Amino acid sequence: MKRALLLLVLLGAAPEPPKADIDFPNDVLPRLTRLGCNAGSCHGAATGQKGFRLSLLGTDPARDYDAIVRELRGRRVDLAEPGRSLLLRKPTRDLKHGGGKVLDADSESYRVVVDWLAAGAPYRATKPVDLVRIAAEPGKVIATYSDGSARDVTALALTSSNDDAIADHDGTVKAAGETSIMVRYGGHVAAWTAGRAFGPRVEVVDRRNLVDDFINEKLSRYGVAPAGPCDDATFLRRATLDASGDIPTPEEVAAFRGDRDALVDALLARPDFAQHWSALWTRPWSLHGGEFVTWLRARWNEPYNRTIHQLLTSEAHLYKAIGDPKQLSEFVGQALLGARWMCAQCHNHPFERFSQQDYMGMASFFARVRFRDGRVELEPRGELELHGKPVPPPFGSSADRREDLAAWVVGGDAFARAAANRVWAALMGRGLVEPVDDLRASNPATHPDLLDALAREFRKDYSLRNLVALVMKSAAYARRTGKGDAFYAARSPKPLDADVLARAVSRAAKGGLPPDAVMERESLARMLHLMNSPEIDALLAADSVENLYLRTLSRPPTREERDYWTGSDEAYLKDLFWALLNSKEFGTNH
Amino acid sequence: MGTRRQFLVGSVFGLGLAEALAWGREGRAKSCILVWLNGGPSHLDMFDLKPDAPAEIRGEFKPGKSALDGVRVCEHLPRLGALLDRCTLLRSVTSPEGNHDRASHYMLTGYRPTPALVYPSLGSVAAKEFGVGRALPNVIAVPTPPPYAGAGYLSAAFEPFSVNSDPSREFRVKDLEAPVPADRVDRRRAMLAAVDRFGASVGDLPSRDTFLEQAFGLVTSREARAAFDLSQEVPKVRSRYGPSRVGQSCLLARRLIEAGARFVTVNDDGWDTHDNAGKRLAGTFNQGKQIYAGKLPDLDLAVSALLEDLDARGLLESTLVLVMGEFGRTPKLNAAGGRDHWPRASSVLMAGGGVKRGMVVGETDALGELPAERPVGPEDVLHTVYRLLGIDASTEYRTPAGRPVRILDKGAVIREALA
Repeated sequence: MKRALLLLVLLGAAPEPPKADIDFPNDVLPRLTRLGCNAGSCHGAATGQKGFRLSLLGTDPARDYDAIVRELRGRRVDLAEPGRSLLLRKPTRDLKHGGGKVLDADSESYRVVVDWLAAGAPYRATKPVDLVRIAAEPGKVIATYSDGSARDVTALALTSSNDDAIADHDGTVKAAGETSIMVRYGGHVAAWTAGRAFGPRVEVVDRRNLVDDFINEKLSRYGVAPAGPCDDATFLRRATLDASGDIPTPEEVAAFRGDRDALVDALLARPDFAQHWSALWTRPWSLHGGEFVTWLRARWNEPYNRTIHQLLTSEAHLYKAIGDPKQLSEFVGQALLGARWMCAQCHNHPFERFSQQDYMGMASFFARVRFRDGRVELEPRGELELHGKPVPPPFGSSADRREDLAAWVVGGDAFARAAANRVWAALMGRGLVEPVDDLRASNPATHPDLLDALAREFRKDYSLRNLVALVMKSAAYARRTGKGDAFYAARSPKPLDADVLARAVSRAAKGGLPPDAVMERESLARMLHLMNSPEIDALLAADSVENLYLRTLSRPPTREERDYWTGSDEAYLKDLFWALLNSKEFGTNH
Repeated sequence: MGTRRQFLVGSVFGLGLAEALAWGREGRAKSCILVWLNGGPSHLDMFDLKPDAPAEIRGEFKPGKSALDGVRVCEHLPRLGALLDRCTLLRSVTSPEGNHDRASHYMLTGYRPTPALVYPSLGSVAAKEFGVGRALPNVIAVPTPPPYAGAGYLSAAFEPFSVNSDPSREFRVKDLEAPVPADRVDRRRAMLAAVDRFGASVGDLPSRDTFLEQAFGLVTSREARAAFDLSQEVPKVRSRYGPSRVGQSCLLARRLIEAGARFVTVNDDGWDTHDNAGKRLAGTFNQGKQIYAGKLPDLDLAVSALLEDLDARGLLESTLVLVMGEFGRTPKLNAAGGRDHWPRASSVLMAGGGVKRGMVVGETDALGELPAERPVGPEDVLHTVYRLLGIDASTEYRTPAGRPVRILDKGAVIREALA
């Protein structure tokens, strides 16, 4: 009996030869990622979890290897008895684990980790290969390695749906429409499109310029018949609000004869256009001060690449507004290139190949810039550091590093695409990419070819005005209002921005609405102000029903409306004026 | 148990059945008053005195008595001290965030700030979970919300309603009253509905529709507007809260809660005492033309009145009261006789709404620098608040970009604080 037991023990403890040549970055780490160990809510959090910290989604294999194999003097792994490793006992819930049970002891992942530990937990396999790229198509993810080999990693890749009402993360389509499926594996990202048509193909012929080629192609393919063009009064109000940030006067309504392209050209030639758009364009920058508006307005009609080059290399007010190199580089990323580099300050970017090293490299373009006594000075030396090591800029050798950065920023495709996406979003109510400042491979545009085409057009002259004109002269811009959708089958109504709303009230009332902080954001207090305030009450004055409609909604009343409003005393007409000012139609650009 | 549940369902006017049941099951607080000491209250001069420490640490205040044996609070907080047997005092709150904005974000949202996302504050989470209120807004800030006490990535509809006026002065909430008589308000409302019906179809505008409904609710509800009318309080009650801004704000908060509001933030300024801490906290202090009364006597009157008043009205068991700021202050007095920012240790006072009576959780070391026992973070405090309010903190929201985020993703309920 005793001998039999001894024999069993000996057999169990007998060292087995390593079964496979297992590699940490290519075999072990993807499994931990797939199990969720390094998700942001678990050990991938910037502060880790219970002292065990992994890089977010396995973007830094070398550090993760250290954390697992070397930290705590190797207490997390037991190479002699792999099954006793904390690395395995915790997730199988053999020991208490805050994250619960995430791993089965009879799973393939468990066996791989055991085999790897039994082989001495090497960092690399004997003949290591590196992941070069991944390619994703519906239901399949293929990884390609430096030796040209390829593996099907479908089971290990992470997938997520950008809109799970339309498709599940694995791409199973649930409803008509389109979304993208993001695929992540080994720090690489890819995306593919999942969707289903609403009905049989339709022919869409409403074309006014190249914008419509792309919009119409997708409408046809998805079987969506677009709404027809809006009427002239609606177009006049829409275009005036978009170009000038104000509503048209009754005189302008009366004078408009329906030549829409001429109207757009005339609106974009007005000083209001530069005023409104420089305010709109710099609003996301406004936390850095109001000087940007005046500065940009003076240059609005100049080529945007030259303007931004100048901003980065010779405008002191930028460096007065933002002093920190990291914040400066985040400004360049988010405001100028539509890239959210700040994610990488704390961890390598989860959706992008942009590491902490890259982040510091971009910031180091500003490492030697100092704003002092109203001007910019350059220090002769000084470098930013990451983990105690200096990080020089990734390229360039100019004495003033900002020259290298500026040339790279305005010369790249990202610069034109980010600008094109913002122009589109401002006019069409949503970006081709949303959020507008989050352009990345894993967040594809709804109309990728259109975004490319707009960027291409923009790069011809870098004129924001011409880009605005191109969009405003398309058939897609001029459609009737409807629900608003990612196919642009109908116009999506936009609530008026705070400054535009205040201006529109003043114009409709032919008087000035005194500025009030409460107007700055949509809130209950603003609603009460527009309904009850003495300031609004003072602006209300009786006028004919016809004129009240023209002054507020920039259109005459319909016959139905004319018939409905039968009162004529002063109080009645003032109340109607009040109702028009508080209406949805007045408060939106539709 | 059955009778208790029936009582709850019957008494919680305006709550859906499911919400009322959830409340009966999970939380005991129906509403919450947050007294926010903006700038960072000094733990060492209030609830965590160190009388045996060297002079440059213990400061100039002497310990006074409290209702709890062995627990001493500042001599300038006698009334609050006498009420400690109705409170839980957390003395070991700790955080790494020492900048006002960052620390406020952490204390009010339970998340350390990140550049990528602003999180919703506890008041806005309450608005999302309880609804925004029909006539009287459910979530109100007096006079204005502190930094990061807003809706964060949630819809603007969940922002607190800001009364925008100082209750201790000529207090008037702007634009609550229609400038026309009631029959014309009705006509305007009907006309607006008709304009919207006939006009260009612009679809649903959720936050606008919410605000419009709330605004008409306020304008047409005498009761809702009366909640903002401090002149309806008898002089004896008004003076019991003290003449200060924090006192009259606490009184307004009680009126609002009594009228059905669910979360009221009283935002009191002046706690960033980098210099002359003694005078700023307990004496009169002249700065230019302004004369400041001491912060402590004002707070002592205000919060003690609030607790007693709520208790006398039978509202304390259903109203959670929180007194806290973004961080504590440096144990060592600086050259200007003040204390600087110190997030590593601070105190939070909780009472009512299912909070244990007469409890002290945790303590700091001999110099008040770090928790010596039972350290808790802002997320633990918020977990406790959400538990008391019956809000499941593991509920997942979605950011506008579609990212799922839990109400809280770290921390745990401080069980010792629950009755």
